[in-house]
Amino acid sequence: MPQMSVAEALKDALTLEMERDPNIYVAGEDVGVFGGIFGVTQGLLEKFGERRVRDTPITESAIVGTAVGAAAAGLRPVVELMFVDFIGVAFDQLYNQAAKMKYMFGGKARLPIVARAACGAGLSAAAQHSQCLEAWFMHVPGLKVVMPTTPYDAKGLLISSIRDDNPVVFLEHKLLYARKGEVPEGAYTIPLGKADVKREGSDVTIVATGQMVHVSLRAAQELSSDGVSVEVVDPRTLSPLDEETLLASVRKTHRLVIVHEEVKFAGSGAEIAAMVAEKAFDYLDAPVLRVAAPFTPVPFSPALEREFIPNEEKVTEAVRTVLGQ
Amino acid sequence: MKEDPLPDLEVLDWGRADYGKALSRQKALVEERISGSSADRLVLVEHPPVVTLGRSGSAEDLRISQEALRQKGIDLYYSDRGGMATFHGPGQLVVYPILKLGNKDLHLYVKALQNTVAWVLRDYDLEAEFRDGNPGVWVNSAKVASIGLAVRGGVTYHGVALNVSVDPEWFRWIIPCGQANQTITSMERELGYPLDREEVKDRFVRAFCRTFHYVEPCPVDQPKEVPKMSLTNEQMIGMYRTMIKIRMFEEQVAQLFAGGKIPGFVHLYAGEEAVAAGVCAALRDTDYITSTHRGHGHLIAKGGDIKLMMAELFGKKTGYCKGKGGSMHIADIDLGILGANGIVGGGPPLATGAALAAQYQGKDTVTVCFFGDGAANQGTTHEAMNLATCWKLPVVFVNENNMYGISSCTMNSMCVADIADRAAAYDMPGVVIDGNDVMAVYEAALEAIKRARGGEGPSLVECKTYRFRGHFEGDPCAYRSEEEVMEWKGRDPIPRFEKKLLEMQVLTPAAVSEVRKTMEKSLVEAVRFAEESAFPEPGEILEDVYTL
Repeated sequence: MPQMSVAEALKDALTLEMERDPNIYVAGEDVGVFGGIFGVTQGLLEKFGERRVRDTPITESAIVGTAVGAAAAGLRPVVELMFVDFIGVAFDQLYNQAAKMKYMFGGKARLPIVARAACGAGLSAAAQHSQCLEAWFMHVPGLKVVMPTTPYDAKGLLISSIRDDNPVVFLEHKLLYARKGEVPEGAYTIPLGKADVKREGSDVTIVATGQMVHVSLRAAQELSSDGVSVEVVDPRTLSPLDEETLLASVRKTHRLVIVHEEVKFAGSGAEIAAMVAEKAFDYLDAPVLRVAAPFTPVPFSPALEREFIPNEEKVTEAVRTVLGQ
Repeated sequence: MKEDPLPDLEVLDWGRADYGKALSRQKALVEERISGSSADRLVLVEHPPVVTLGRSGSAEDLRISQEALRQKGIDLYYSDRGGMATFHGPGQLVVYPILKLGNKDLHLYVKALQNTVAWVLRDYDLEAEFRDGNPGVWVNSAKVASIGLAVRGGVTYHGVALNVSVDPEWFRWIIPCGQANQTITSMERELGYPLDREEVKDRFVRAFCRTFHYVEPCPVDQPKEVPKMSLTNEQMIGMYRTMIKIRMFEEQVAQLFAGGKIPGFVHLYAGEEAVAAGVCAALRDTDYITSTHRGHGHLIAKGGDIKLMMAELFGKKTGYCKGKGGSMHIADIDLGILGANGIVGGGPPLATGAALAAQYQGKDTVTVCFFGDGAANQGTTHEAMNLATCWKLPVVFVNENNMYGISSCTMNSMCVADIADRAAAYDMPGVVIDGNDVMAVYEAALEAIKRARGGEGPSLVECKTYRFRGHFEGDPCAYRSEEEVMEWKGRDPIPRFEKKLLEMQVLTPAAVSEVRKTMEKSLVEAVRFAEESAFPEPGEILEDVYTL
């Protein structure tokens, strides 16, 4: 089976889908000639031409807004926000227009939009280019929120997101673009709203997202040499959330640590913790802990950014705490 | 009794007039303009054959003697305009704008004159060419229009000479504009077929008004004209009925709202009917519109069903949106209505997107974006307009400038006099029209829609209008004066159009009352339908969040 990076897997997904469906177009800043600043759309312009792969001005409101109008009129836009941090200037078009049109119109509109965005810290890109904002999008009824962490997941989830008839916010962690893994050839789908147990275990459940999935897997590997068996669950889709898989894991291990790169306060972990407390309280042998970023903007200096991003030590400490060690 | 304010631009057609006499008359007009006792004027005239020499011209610009000219029936005149020698004669449209320029740059004025000529030529599919340092307009490297000007006391005179059907042979007796090797041509020569001179004049006036941002004038020196051509009786009656339908619907809603039958807020369109009716009359059923929070008028004009609208306003499950949207979110995608919108400026990007879809799919569908003076200052509108031009999308931005965004008056929230001024910034045509004249709205909209449908890109049509009622029902309107409201009610688009249709005998008084009676009945039915329909079940709350 071929090895691909996440970026290559995403490009593969886009290529296959655009070949299949002539109504799909790609638009965003520097997606054409430049091939996307993370290389995800490299070569698409040459293959599909200017009508289908569009370089835009710096105009997020119009990029997202025209995607909404175009989708309502029959197209399937896959637009790119260079950094998820830029959603601010286009947010109305996403949460007031795209997310709500179907409901407000009594079911009549169909908006098959994918808004891809790069997120996450670790490149010293500083406060306005490094955020994880999943919680904002999860909070909007009408949006779906997807966050792949491996090349295999990235390709299947992007294909599914494109084929989904709803507005999907597709979050790609910057540090994962280069990550390689096995990816089957040809098109395949991974259902949205289905979590993946990335590592089976029996003593503690870790629910992690984005880059933190790999931090947690490394921590789990370390802990296993101490005889601690950690199960790592990757939700893959944050909205709709796969409650069943998460709850099944907690019922098995009785302990839950949530690890995300978002700031702790009001992050996605708060929703997961509350949901588990509500539905699996009797199964918990310890309070639910969250390992997350501190309540600050992302600092620039590597010395501080290191402090900001949750690491293996902090995950291990949390696991030991819920185990009472 | 209050005097009528000076009209924006007076158009004076002097028919055929001797050059010298016309020049004296021009000078008299200049004096009137300087003294402020008149408006700007646009003089249209045709001269008997005459060679004129400007301030830089001399006998050396003549290829034959003055005597020889006279034998050929050509007069000679030493003129006070700029430039050298030129010829005026039958078949040439001569235009003298008598405008107060004030401090405005003369070069910009010349450019605007050139653009006006270019506009007219474009109407006939001729492409204008310009030469640096040489005012005038060329087509296929031959000169088709000359420009020569004078300014006194900040007021311009002399102007433009456009060769419509004049025989270029007349020009061989002079060195035209000091260019010995200059080929002269005419529009007819370039096109190869005869032109209707009146039509060219008409287009020139229209292009002039749009370039210089005048509200399209009524010619003063001509008999009251019957409105022109493009509308059939059926279409005119259709627009009239639409306006009546909207007005009656809104008045009914106002009553019901006051009676507590309609929850939430309503923003009523009364007073602005001509814009929705005029624009939508120029659209096909398959075209799209995006609307605003003040959307009932657009919805009705685009063919919306008032029963379903009323039920939606009442919050009933039989409404357009199953009671889920309300007044500000009514939509009917099948009718091409991409929704009223509760976000000011929410519509423009959506409209640009629908236009993108049309272009992408090779369809000739057009999208109209209705947006107000408030939305004109919102970032999304500017982004949508910029992208629409960059991608040459088939969208028409129709601005309803009713002067107020709730209580903010355009005087305080806008830095330009007309929103159409901004069109140039996005390289699209921008016109200002009387939004309370449904025929003017129709004509301007039709042109912009044709442009878009023909693949020539977006336009901006600014309709000056006024909402008779508050921003929302219940608005005390402390920010507007009673006088202002009454003044605009005096320009109510409906009685205005009704009067015209009665004068033209397109309608009879009996027909007028029939229209109202029919609308009254439909309204009664719509209200009954809304009242008798059920509210949605609580369980319906979770439906339609996602497409399954």
